[in-house]
Amino acid sequence: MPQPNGKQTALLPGFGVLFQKEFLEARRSKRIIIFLVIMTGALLLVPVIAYFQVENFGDGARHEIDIDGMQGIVGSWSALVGYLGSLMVIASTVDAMTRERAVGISAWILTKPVSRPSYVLAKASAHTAINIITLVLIPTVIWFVITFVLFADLPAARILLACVILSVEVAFLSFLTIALGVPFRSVTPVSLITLAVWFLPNFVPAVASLEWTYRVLPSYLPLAAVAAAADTELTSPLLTIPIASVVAVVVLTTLALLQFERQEL
Amino acid sequence: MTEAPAIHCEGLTKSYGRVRALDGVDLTMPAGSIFGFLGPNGAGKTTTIKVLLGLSLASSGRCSIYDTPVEQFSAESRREVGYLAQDPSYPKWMTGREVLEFVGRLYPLATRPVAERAREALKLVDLEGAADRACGGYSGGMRQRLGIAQSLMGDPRLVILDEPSSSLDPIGRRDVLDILRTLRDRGIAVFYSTHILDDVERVADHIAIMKDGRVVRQGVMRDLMSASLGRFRLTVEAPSATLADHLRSMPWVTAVEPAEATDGRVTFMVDVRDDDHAKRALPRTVVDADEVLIACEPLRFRLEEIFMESVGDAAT
Repeated sequence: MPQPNGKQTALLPGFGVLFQKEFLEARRSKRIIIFLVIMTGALLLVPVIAYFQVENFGDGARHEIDIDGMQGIVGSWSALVGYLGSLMVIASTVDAMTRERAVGISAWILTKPVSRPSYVLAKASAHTAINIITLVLIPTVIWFVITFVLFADLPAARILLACVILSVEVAFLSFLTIALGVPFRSVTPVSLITLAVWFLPNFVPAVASLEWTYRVLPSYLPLAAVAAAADTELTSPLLTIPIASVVAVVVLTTLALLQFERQEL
Repeated sequence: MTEAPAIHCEGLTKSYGRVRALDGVDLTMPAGSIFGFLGPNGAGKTTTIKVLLGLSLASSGRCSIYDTPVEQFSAESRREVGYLAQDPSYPKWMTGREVLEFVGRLYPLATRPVAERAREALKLVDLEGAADRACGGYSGGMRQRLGIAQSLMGDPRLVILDEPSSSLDPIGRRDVLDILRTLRDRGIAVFYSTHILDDVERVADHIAIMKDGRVVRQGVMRDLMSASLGRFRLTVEAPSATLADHLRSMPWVTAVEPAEATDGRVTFMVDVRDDDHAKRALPRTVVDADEVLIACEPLRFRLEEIFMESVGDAAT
């Protein structure tokens, strides 16, 4: 779009201010606090239950368990964050676009010196950041500390790798949910499509000719995280799934931005 | 050199499928004026505003704000325009001051600090006392006043207000009108869409009336209101029974109807062919007939009559 006075130089005018507002708003959400508590509580049950299992008793207060036992603890952590977290991300983000559009806040903001891409990207980035912090990082740090206190030989490097994959997962879902808020103006289609995108492909491996998809579909990010944390061998899907997810989210977000640019508000 | 019009639209159309919401809108709003934008529901007022603000794209036609075509309006150029929505809504967790400071930070090139602009805007709309309360608890009137305040945070040259006083009580409406006058005194043009004709009559200096997606009448308020109805209100003390017939016999009189009688005084409505001639001839005719003339005044259009005549059945 031509710039009549030549003063407009920022690539995403207003992005920083909008990001700050979205971040504060997401942080103040009661839902995200509840999800943080549930996620942290669920994760803490894993090492605590494992600690009191008879086969895990050791000589000292800090138990040493075999590799299978440790894989079980770490695998449970990544699966909980991966699957329970995905539902929480969808629930916490699903109305972020639709609510503001319904009450006219988006139209109000977009009459200010901000661009439409700034508005969408700030919303998606802020929700991604707050979701990663509250659903991955904080519960994981608490879980890690407790598990470290209770058990020896925690595979920190692999947990870190799984954390990266889980963060990609949260980013993918946050951006996807926000992007779907562009073509759809109510929560129902946004939530149904996001859930379908996320869970339906789990049935795909039943079709032999589609087995290759497990290497690229973002829906397998939780499995990739579990594999990164607990599998004995690191396999190529650990790399291809996150990369494909990033590519997919860039494409989807670009399409949403192009549509939003010409959309009636 | 004359200043560019605040708003200028030519042949603006907007279609939603087969529905033509705007059907060739021609509109000129002078800079520095209060412009009353009137029309019945569904006339196309809000659609016009959305096109002006870039929230909706016109199907055809041209529209400019201070000579900048709206389709070329960049994020930066939007600082020229403040906007208050019909039913303003803000993040409920923010206080009034936070809303203003949030909006203020969206104008990075503003010359004055955000806090100062927010303080001044809060004072203008008399919302200082509630500035640090969450706006989720604001009344409709407070939200409207906050809306006006936020529309001023970029120091705009034009403010577009969509029904700013529709949800206000009489005191709130009076306050809003006072604010609009203050803005005009500061050189800020106010584009004021409303259903409340009385408010427009009190503050607007230009009006446009829309019907079925077209501007059916626009102009300077004073000129429109001074147009003659060709009708006089004539009050006479204890008139004789023949006065009405005497008046009807005048070649420049087309109709005489007694309107009301109070305390021996009778008021007639006298329709005339030539307003200027009747101004002099009508009182003289009454006095020459040995009647006691109490009052003789030409009737002028009120905005309601202009509006009703312009929109016809659509208004109902």
